[in-house]
Amino acid sequence: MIYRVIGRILEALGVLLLVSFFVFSIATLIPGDLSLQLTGVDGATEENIMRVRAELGLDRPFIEQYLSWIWNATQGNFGNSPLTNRAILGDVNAALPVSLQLALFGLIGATIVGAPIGVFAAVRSSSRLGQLIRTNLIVLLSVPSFVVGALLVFFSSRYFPQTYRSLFIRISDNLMENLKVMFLPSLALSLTLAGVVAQVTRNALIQELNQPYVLTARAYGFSSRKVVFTYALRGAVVQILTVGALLFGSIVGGTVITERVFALPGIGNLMVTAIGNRDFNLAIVAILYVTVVYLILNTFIDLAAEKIDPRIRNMKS
Amino acid sequence: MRTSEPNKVSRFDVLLSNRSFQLSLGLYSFVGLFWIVGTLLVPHGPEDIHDQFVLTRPNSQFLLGTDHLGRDQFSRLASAIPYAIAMSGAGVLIGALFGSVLGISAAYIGRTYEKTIVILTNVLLGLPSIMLAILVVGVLGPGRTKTILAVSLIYIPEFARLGRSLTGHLKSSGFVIASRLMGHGPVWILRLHIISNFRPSFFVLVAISLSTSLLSITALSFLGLGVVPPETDLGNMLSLSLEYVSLAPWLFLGPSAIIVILVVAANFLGDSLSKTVDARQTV
Repeated sequence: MIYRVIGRILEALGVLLLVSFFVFSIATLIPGDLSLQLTGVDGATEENIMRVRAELGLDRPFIEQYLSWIWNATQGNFGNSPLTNRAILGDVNAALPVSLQLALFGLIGATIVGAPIGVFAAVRSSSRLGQLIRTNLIVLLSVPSFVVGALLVFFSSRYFPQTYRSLFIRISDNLMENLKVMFLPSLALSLTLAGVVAQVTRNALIQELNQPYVLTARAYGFSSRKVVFTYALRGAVVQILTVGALLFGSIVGGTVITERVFALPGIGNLMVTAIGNRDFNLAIVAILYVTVVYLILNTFIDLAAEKIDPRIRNMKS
Repeated sequence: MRTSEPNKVSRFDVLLSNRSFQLSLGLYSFVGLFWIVGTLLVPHGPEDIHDQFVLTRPNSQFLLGTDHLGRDQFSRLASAIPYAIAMSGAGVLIGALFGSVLGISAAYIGRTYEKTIVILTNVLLGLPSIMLAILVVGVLGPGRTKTILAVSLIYIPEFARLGRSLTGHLKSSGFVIASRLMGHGPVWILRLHIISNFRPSFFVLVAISLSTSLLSITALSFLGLGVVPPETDLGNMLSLSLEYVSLAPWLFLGPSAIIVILVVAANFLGDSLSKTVDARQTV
């Protein structure tokens, strides 16, 4: 087991290194860098641009830029943003907890709403009601996060002004106030993700209910409730976890948009702002942070799946 | 696979009798009707500025009201519809073709080439797709073509994976080996066996991807990175209408509704196609 864990971690580090190279090259190799923006239109003489480029190290060969960047990155030094002149690391570190909190709340809310719907739809999959839920899930899945966010902003600002907060308060400053601020964005994200959660739960559970062991359990005379909740759901959880990658994409997408709609100072908002300013140094680090979270989660899920489902464990050893 | 039984049901008949397909067709027709009414019957052009009617409520002259410059929201929405459909389709197709070619060739050629493609696919899959699209469109700059390119990148790894796994299976299957023993060259095998067996899965995945493609394009424009004004896009219309939500709350209903309808239609289309293909495989 310990070797598998180490192996998985090394694998994840390898992917991270490749992703960093890939992202860095996209952001660096394509023409149009910061020097024009920094010198301003008036100061954009040949001489000025060359000076700024030399300062930022943009005149060095690409591979050298990457190596020095990754060397500094391993020591936790991402430098300062050339635009804001603040430390990139500080900005990103301040933004990450906001996003994690939002994503966590969103996921919890989505599970509370989505999972029971999914289980119900799976158990009744052949009835008319089950089919109706299936069709409705497709509709629910289709409502994008920005539409949900827009509707919530509109209705809350108009009819429930006390729920709408425009000023952000950090969780470390005041927990209650922070929860009040996070309520609407979390609700928006939950509603967007609930459809995905329900769909994934339904599909996984249906597949599990078709397994021979479920038939055996039913033949033994176990109650339907026991079959579903004790046996089938356990098998389905593994499947739900393994398609977590699919879920992660929607979570990140939903979080970026929701932060934007509600003006939360999270990592998605930071990244979009940085991209808008063509501040790619900052944007790259933001992307890599999200990738790290993703890789940790993915590695953890794979190992957890082995833990929960003995079949996977035996298959691999 | 193709037999000539007398009462064989064609693939299209199966599709037509599918409830999801009917729903999808209905929704697309509604959007089509909306577009026809908005472009042909509404007397205002999408760019016409009526500066005495800024932010007016919906009325008989402006069915969905006017925006902050006094432009008719109905005809602006209608003008964005064909772009939304074409762009989401193009985004998927470009990524799909590129990815499929990479995947099929990887499985067919093997060796270092295959390993390189696999690593590249894993790297692309390791990045959350929306972040990749945001980065690429940010680097390339705004515009319709660039948005399509950025979104198409999302689909390259998915299709490369599909192409590679399917070709890998087929390559070692009996009929391909037999075909090779009969002296057929690689191009022949590719065309006769691999492409024809790949096609159904390809179209299913394309149809399923249509909705995410539309969502990504709209999201990029919503974030102010994809299609930016003065060009119209459902996403940037929505973000613009949000700025005026307290003054003119009716503005954001139109873009929201059209986006949701288009995504629902695309999802039903994907659902019906995957059901139809599955049904044929199991029967």
